Amino acid sequence: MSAPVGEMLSEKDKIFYFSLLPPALTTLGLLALIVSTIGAKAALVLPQALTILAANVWDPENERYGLLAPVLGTLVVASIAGAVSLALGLPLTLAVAELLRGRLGSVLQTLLEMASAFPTVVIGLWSARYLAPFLSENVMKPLYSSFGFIPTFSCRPLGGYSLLTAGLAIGFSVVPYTASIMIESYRLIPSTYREACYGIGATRYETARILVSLARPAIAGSVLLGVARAMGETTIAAMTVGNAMNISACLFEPSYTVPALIAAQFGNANLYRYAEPVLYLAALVVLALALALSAVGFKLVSGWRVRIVG
Amino acid sequence: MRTIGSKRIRLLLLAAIAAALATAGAVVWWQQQQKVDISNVVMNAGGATFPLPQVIAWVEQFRKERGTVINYKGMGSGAGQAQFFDGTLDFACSDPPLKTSDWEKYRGKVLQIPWLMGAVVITYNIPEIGNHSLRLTPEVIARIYKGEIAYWDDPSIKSLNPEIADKLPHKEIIAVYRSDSSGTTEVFTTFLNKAAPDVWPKQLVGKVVDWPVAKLGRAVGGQGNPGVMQAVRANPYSIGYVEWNYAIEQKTPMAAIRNAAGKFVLPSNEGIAAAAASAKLPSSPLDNFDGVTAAVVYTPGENAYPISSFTFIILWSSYEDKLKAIALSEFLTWVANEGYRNVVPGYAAPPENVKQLLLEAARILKGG
Repeated sequence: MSAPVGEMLSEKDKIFYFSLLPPALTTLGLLALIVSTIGAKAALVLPQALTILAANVWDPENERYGLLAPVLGTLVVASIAGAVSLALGLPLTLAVAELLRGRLGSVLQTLLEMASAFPTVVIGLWSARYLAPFLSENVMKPLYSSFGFIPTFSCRPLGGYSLLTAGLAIGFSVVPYTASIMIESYRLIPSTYREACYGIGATRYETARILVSLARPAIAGSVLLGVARAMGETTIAAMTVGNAMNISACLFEPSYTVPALIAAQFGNANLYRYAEPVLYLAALVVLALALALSAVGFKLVSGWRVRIVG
Repeated sequence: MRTIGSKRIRLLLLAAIAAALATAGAVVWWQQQQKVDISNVVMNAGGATFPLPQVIAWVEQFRKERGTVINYKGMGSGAGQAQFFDGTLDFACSDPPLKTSDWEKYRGKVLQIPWLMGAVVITYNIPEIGNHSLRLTPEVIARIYKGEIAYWDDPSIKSLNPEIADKLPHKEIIAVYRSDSSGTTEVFTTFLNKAAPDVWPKQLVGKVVDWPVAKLGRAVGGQGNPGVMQAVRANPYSIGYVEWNYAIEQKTPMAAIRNAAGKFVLPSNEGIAAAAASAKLPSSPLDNFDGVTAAVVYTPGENAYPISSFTFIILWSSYEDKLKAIALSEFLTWVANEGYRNVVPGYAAPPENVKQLLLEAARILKGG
């Protein structure tokens, strides 16, 4: 049971406790301030929000705006990134938490934690210079010639700056983040489950399968958190997505994401009447989507942790 | 108790102080007017990134000779104008001049001089022809950026380049443009509109435009000159437009473009000078320069390079800090007399009438 703070704490504790409040509240206050500022700045175009979100044009000189391409692009890129973080993160989790439980595992985990601090601009540079042409030649072209009837592969790849390249590159940058949540969750599974598996004669592979299916909500949650993070990724997107107001079902075509649009257009947005409010509206949309996904992802992970630990 | 005597002394004292102050003020004023020691002046400037290398070179040389420190930050023309008007910058550089509405607002208080020239070049990445210089017409360039010409072996490109016609591949053209709002894009699209108005309408002119070819999935945008160059390098069969000085630095192939006289010309100092020679300019730095961007592209001169451009320096006609005004006046005079002798490759000194504009601005700043 939690008693009121004041009754349990000594005088010194109280001072300590209250001295923590201002910085803690400052952070929250700043976040609230950011959201309200963005909202206020976007207010000018909020009445036309739906029209703007449904149109596809970026023509500030004639004050014509539409965010459909970047919003769709953000969703596609973030989904690809989520798929990458699942496809790479899950094996990584099993490798670190299941197979290599000794020294090697902890070395791998340290490396993983270091990788999450990797500057995105480095990943962006590498992706723009090497990954994009490589994917174009070795992945997109074969996919196009063999599976061109599927809409997502239905266009001949040009350079390599595309939704796919941006999605994969951002996916790589998100893997350490999602994987570390997965590993943490996986390790929380009480040993009784493992022992029970071995008890009924399950092999190590079968045990891992059972434990993974047990951890499914946590895995889904961490992927959602990764997708939310991928939505906001700016540098890598701006360098690889192609920055074109283009809507296409084909993943090999250049397109835009909202953060890339903001990065490209914000500098001189003050020259035009509505460019800045529209960019704030775009920011608001991505913020809302990312917050919603984070909330769901966080709920999945933390809810599962409470249940599994009991 | 007060006496008449003490009152008189106080009066005398006041008069003495007033006289001292007046003398001191006069001395300071006289010093500022006569003995121009501008070595302690520090100024903040910023704006367009296009003239950055040249401005840095001038500012550095001027500091060595006169001691005045000018900190120039490349932040883009728009940000430069905004920070100049809100008082953060002492002067700004901007590729486009002030819009007529802004000029009206500050009429008589603001000076503009198109003090430096450059050019926009068309570069490309066609492995089959390497560094060979393509010949292109404004119509062909406009139709590429419209998405109407999709392949490098299009008859319209082949017929302009008969000597390498069989080498031009049947590959789709990737059009590269500036994703950020940029004076370079404004110069480039102004040129397309002026030289090929049937293909390139007025709505597609500006610092950011809604590229028709982008909607076809055959175009990518790059941030700044480096971003465009990087995209051209990374994407075989692409075409892009960058500042001439940047193209020189990068040793990238450049196209010869057909000018208004029907001649195919590569960018050169002479070509830019020829373009400026036939451009009509206002006669005072206090005048409205809106529209000058269009006046210098696709000019009739026989050797004129058709995508030539001016870049502007924007200053106040008077400054509260008299010393700053004098330093700026000296700087402009120095650029007109000395600076133009050392122009960084990729830029060109403006013609004589612009030099006169600089000297006129220097006179106005001195208050004479």
